[in-house]
Amino acid sequence: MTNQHNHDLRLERAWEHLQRLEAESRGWLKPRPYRVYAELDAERRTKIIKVEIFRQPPAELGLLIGDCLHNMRSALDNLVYDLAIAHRGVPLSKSIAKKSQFPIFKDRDQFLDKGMDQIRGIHPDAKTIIKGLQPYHRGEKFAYHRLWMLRELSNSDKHRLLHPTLLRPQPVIAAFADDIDISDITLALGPVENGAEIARHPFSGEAEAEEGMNPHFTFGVGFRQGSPLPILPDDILNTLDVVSVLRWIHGNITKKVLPPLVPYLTRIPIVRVSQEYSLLPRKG
Amino acid sequence: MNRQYNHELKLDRALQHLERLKPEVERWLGRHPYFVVSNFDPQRGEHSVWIEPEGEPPAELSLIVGDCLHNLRSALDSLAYDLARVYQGEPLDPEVASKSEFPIYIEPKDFKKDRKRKIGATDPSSQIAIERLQPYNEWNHFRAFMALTGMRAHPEAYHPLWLLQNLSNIDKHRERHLTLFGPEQVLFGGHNADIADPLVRDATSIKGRAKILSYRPVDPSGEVHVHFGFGLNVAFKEGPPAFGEPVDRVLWRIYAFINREVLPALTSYLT
Repeated sequence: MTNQHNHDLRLERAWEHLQRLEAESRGWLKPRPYRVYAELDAERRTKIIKVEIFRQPPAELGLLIGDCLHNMRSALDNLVYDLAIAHRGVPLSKSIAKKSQFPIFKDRDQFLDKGMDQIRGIHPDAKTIIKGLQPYHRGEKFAYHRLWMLRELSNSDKHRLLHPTLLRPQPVIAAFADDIDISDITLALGPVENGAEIARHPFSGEAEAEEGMNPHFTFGVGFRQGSPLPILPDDILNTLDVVSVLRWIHGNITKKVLPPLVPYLTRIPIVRVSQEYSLLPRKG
Repeated sequence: MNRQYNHELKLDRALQHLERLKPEVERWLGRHPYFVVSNFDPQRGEHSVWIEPEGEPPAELSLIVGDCLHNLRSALDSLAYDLARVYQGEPLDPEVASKSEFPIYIEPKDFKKDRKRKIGATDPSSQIAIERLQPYNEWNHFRAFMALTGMRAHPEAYHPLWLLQNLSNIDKHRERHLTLFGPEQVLFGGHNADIADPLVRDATSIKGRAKILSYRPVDPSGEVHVHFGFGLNVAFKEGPPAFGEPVDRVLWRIYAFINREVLPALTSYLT
């Protein structure tokens, strides 16, 4: 383990936190800290399905999210630092050491202005690779870039709030009764607050009969929306739970960011031979 | 959860990491990852006992330290954010929210420069309280403390908040806190031996090896008996700002400072 690079260790640590987060999330959901109930609108013949949350997710989950994000973000920053050491050797100049950071920018000009300074110490080819990994290449869809999500989540966790987590219903269509047309079901996706509507559909039979029949929902732990939380796209927040988002980011780092950059972590010694050298004794 | 402020939760989390550090350190030290070697200097007629580490402490320790530092720093930033939130009301202006940060400076001019940007949205009285907590105001206190211990050239650098600021930045952006261990308390005794304890026990980390003690016989013709024991700890690697300081002690000092000095000075502004 001691021969590993710092970024590898950080990523492993992030993964440990992620696994613990997953286990804790499951542990919190297992006793079903919620109740699904229905309200009937007899006039409009509509059944409104709501959720009552008995207990909010424990703070532990938010703290694990924070630890995981911290290690993923640090892994990237450590990677740039190690790349600079590989390229320049030790000790790094104070200026490079201080500014060294993995740049993540949504704007090309900002990257060229500030980001390039953050990777000043690394090999020019590695700079080109990092440039190619920038969210600004996605144009207006920069917020869908996984590195951008990491940046937003990490900054939010560090300087502002934890990420309070809420239930998010998974759309299990099959759990609705057979006589309901799928097109008539309106599902509210995404994080929900206590008492929030999670689905509605029309009913045709007797109201009394409907009262006892509620579809099953499964729930996950999601990021809560709203200011001052990170600016993540709504469809990401609505469809992915916390563990999936973090796994997604982790996977991006290990599969997309690291492979092209790892070769630049090896310092290849250049030996200059300035005189004739032989292990054999000279003749004559 | 809702009753607790974010900074309290972060501090609790830091404490969890800190408490996890101790058994991990003990587990590693329990494996005796070192050699004890003895040398004899015939010219001086002196025996000396040295300790040589087998290798560096496991990376796990550095990662726990990193997580602890992250939560300590984050606790302060969360506190600054909550102070702004309480004073301004919610929702905070996104610009204010994005720049909110607990300032830590060793130079008054730097604090003045960044005060408005980082804590300008908080109650003016709380800004004064934060200013009073800055390391440069504690200079005299720490200079006196360090003069007493007689060890350091830059006392202000040992202010808990300044340590946190530096260690946290190093940890985040650069290298892991590689740690070495240093002999702390050394207990010794013997018969027919003039024993010298050569080191000021300031937990200076071992660089390659460290001397524990030396001895020479009082009566060269007699039999010499020497027994000794020593305590070990994990220390920050050589280099500023916590060179040679035992890791757990530094982290506890930072944790205690936040709890005993920072929070009492600012909590009233959270209501």
